[in-house]
Amino acid sequence: MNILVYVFAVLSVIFAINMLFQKKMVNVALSLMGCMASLAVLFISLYATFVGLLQLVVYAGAVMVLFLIIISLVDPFGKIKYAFSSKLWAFFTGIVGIIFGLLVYVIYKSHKAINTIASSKFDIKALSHRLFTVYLLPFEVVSILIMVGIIGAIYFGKKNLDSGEKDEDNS
Amino acid sequence: MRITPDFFVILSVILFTIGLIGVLIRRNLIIIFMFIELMLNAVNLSFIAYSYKLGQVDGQIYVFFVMVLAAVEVAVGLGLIMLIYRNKKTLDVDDINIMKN
Repeated sequence: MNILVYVFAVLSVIFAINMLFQKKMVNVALSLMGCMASLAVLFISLYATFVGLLQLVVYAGAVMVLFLIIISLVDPFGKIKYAFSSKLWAFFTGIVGIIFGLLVYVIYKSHKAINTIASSKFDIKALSHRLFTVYLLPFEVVSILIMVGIIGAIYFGKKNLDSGEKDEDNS
Repeated sequence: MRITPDFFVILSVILFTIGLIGVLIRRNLIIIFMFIELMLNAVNLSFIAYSYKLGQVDGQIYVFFVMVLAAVEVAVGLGLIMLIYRNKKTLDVDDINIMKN
């Protein structure tokens, strides 16, 4: 069990670093899919079975299918470049260093503040009970949010948004 | 010997930093979007790790909400990306500068 966790942790980091260096969009998407699947295994190893399976279905399934459809719709072989202007590199390194340092500092402080409570095995019954009692209002609000998102996506998918002015595109 | 939750928190910090580097150095709109998804996943991992560490199930519920938000974000964001591509014929963020001066 332990060796499996270490293997998938290293695998997720390798997939994530691979995303940085791939040239084609499809390869980046496949690396992201591998990283998400590895993270799903790590979730399940932390007794978050429901969330791990949801990660596989929603992220590695639905979201990646959406990404691949969009990649196939736009130009998949266009040239892809990095921000190689040397003036920006110091700026980027500064931002990344500051945020990384802040995260490490906060985690070090929280590691000293929180002591571990052992023997916590969650089942889906406790999760769903809490979701439908305490978190019922956020659950319903999120369902409204999904509907708004669907309407927005359909609106952005229209052929030309300001129709009535330029209708010369009859294809 | 069990693996401590701190291991997963450190892993989530590493993944988040990689996602941040990717957002900064890649210039393609869709690839930047994928790195944002990677950062969301890293935050989810830290939620799960702290949920395990504190023995409470609330962190998993937050992860559930984050996943729903990410799905909506992907649907709307990819619609926007298609709109930009149809109007500008490019996905390079350096060429999308209509707000500049």
